[in-house]
Amino acid sequence: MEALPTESIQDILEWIDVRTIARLRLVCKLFNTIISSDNFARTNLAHFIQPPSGHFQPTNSSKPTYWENLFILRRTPQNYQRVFISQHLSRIKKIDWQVEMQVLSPVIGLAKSLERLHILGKYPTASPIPSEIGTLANLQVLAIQNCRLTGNIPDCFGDLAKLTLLNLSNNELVGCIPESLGKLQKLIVLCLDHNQLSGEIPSVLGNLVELTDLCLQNNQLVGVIPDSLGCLKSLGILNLSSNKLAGVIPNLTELKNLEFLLLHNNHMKGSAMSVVSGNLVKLTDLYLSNNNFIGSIHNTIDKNSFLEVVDLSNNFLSSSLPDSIGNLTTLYQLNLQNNRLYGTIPTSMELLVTLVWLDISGNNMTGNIPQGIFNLPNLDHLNLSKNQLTGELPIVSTATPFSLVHLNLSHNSLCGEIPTAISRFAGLKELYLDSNRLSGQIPESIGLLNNLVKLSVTGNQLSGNIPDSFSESVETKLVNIDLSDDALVENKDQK
Amino acid sequence: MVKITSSDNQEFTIAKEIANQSVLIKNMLEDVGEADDQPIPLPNVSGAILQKVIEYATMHKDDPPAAPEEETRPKSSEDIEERDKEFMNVDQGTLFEVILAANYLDMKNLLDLGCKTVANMIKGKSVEEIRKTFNIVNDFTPEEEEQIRKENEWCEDR
Repeated sequence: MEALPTESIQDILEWIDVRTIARLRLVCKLFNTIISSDNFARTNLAHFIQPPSGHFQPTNSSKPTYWENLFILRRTPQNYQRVFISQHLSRIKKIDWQVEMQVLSPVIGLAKSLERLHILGKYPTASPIPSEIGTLANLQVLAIQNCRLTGNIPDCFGDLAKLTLLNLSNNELVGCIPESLGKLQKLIVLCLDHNQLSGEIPSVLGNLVELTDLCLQNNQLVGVIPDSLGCLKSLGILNLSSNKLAGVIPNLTELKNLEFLLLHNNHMKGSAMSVVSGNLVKLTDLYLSNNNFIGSIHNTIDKNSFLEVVDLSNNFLSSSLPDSIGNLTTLYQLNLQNNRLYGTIPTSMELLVTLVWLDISGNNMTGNIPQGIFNLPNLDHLNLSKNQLTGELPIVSTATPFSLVHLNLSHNSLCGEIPTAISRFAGLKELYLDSNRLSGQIPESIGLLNNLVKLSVTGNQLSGNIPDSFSESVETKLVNIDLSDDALVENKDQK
Repeated sequence: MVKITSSDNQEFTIAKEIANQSVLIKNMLEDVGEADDQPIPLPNVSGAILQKVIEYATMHKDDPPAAPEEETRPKSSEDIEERDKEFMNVDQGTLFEVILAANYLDMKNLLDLGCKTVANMIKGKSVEEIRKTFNIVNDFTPEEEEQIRKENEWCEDR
């Protein structure tokens, strides 16, 4: 091939499919130089790809289509993509693509007709967010996710007057949320979550009256939640979790469309009750965990009949549980662990038939455990440990087996014997009864718990033999068992 | 009729419509005019290759001109007529010389045919096989090679 001039080699390589040309860069320096030149890229592309009209998006049609040609572009060297985009960008209205931002950044300002820019990084290398995007006046949808975008969100993004969706989640953006975003009157979705944004939440965001989704979670935001967010009457999702927000929850009672309120993992204080006061009639998910909230949970959780998930764990809430909690018939997860709740567990909780996950551990609950809790048909996880619950284990034999998989009643003051009916927990994998005042023998029936992998009964006043049936389980299934400290006698012929 | 001479002074007399397939010769004929019967010298093409080129031109003398819409259609190197495939069934040295001659004589169809033929020889071969087939020396340092591999990584497997 040495006999041929560069020009002729170029003529030959033009006939190689653009999808496989990248590989040929490895043949020799001359090949690499040819393929890496923009001029060659232009000619080579012209052989295989027709220019696009409006929408820049790959398709999966079996027949090669116009747009499938564009799909090809994804497999071409970067200079090909740059050449192609710069040739045709001014006419393109929509880009939905997995591409390196580095390819797009130098030319994106040319895409004056662009209405939709949706980029998902696949093998991203960090690159600054192109401020030229702020000049694309027709843009309605701007979503650049997982692209390792760095730097500040440019102020000029506030000039994109037609924008309805702005999603820059999962990047490496720093600095403050620009005040200018408050000018985006048509914005419906604003997601800046999973970045390293700092500073306060600008109160001008309260001007975005069309907003349904506001997601700013997993940043370094400080200060208080601006009162103005309480004016966003269309809001369905408010997620400000995992920041460094302080202060109290502003008045959100006007947010009658709110379905998801996530403020967990912050430094907020004050009363959690003020959040809802029974006005957020559409609320389904309420996450306020890992803050410093105080006060009562009455009104917070008992007046919202569509609640499905309530997580108030790791706060300083101090009140009894209201009887009206039984009205939350759509609830499937209730987490109240590590607060200062007191009083008895309301028997009305027996009505929560959709409940899957219940955790009231680490509080000051007293009195007996209502028997009906164990009968809840969907309950999978029950943790009442670290309270001051008393009385015998109210487990009686029923026609249908219990649904529980995880049962933790440890660190209470429960007394009496372990009931024979314990065997009705057919699916139980973990059973913690340690640090109570249980006495008598471990019932033979415990050997029927075929799925048990963790059992702890230590720190009680149990006596007698370890049942034979149980010892068989030890050999086959149980991997983690703690029987120590009890006056148990192991059968000589076992183990 | 038109007379042409090769680099090794072989003289060929060919019909004008065959000669005109070379844009180079066509332009020369227009420049010198009809009357001149001096042979046109083609110092870059050997007699053997010129013979081959004339063979191609004779074979295609009745071809209709390409339709304009075909210019914009995506082209494939697989698009080769059977008789052309047979015509190009030659050793690598000859193939390259035909490409050089077509380039010099400005015969687009023949140049495309030659280039497609070589492109088809490249297709489906590994980089190492390509180097071996065409006697190309790998002139990259391992670092340079690694760099290109890295750059290529992201355009594969999607």
